Amino acid sequence: MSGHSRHYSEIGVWERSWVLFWSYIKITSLVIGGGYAIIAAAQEEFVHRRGWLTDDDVLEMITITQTVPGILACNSAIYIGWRINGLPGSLAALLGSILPSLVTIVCIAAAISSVAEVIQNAYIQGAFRGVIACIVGMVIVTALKMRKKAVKGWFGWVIAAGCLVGMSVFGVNPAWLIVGAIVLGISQVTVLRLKKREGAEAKK
Amino acid sequence: MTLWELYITFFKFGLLCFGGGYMLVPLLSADLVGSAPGAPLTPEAFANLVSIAQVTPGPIGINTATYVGFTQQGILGACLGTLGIVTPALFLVILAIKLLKRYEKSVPVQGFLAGMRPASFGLVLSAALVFAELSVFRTEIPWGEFWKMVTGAGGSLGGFGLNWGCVVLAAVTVPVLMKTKFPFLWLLLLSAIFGAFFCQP
Repeated sequence: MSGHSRHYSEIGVWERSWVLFWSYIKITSLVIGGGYAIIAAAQEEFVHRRGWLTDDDVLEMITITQTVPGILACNSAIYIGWRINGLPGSLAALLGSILPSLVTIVCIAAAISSVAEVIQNAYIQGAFRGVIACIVGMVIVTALKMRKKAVKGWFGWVIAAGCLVGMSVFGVNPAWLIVGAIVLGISQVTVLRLKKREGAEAKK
Repeated sequence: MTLWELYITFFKFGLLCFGGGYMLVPLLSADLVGSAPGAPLTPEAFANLVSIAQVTPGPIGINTATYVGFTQQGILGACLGTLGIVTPALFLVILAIKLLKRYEKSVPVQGFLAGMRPASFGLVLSAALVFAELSVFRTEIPWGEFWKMVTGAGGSLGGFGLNWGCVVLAAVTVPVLMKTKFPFLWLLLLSAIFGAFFCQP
């Protein structure tokens, strides 16, 4: 957690993989809430603290991680690892994102009934809520940082609002919202291109 | 299940769970859960698993895969289940990065980005709401009751309300992360300590 931060181009391939691995270990052993919470934490680590990626990269990362099937947090680890250090980076970050779960869950599974009881403790419940409240803030920060580039014009706002309301209010499966958004996006771009071509022909 | 079956089953789940680990729950319950003697998981074990996976740090889908693998084949099973679920993504994410770069200017890629960018923003916001329902709000948001109130059909809020300790934490986190370099992992730890005393249910 020290303040020094060198750009990844200044350090060797092995050290880059190590930083990716260790950063993901730290994040996934502390962050409760899964995918979006871990993505928000990774943005803090790699964009804000280290300056290794930009907010635009994060937007592309979120776009890809949601479209490709799989666990969001792991998809984002593969993406970040690849951008910083190719395949070794992907493997390092991916391993870092699954190891803490592997260790904790195996320990919990061995003592599941007593764990289920401890979790009910009021102080533990309070601590969980505190961490998740902090994550609410982190995810809002992620949204604020991506807004300008992600939502352009009324078309963007319609899709964004549709996804928000569809998932939060009506509980629609996000996979359908994603398919719908892609279909609408492709239709919009196709229509714009056709209009452009018509305009160019009219000028002739 | 043998180790090989475990790997293949979770490889399949990894290919099928669009929209993140949440999708794993319906897939798992369709394939692995049953009260019959031969079924890998009983409904009770499955309910336990889902609640534990959510309060344990780490990706929820990975927590789930690890737990199911462990119940079937011990530690080796936990490792293989987890590796199975992430294997497809390793290839697909890298393929997606390359395709996007290569066909950057084409209509399908431009359209994909035009749709998915705002969709991502919307989905990130709904994730914030999901987390808020687990902390800042005391219950899930009663949308149906709100609708009844707006249309004048009565409606009651029930136990819905704010957890003020959580409100403070969420409201402090945003400016701290936007304006300062305060390390977020310390922020999480401090939130846990503060929450233990001021955010109890």
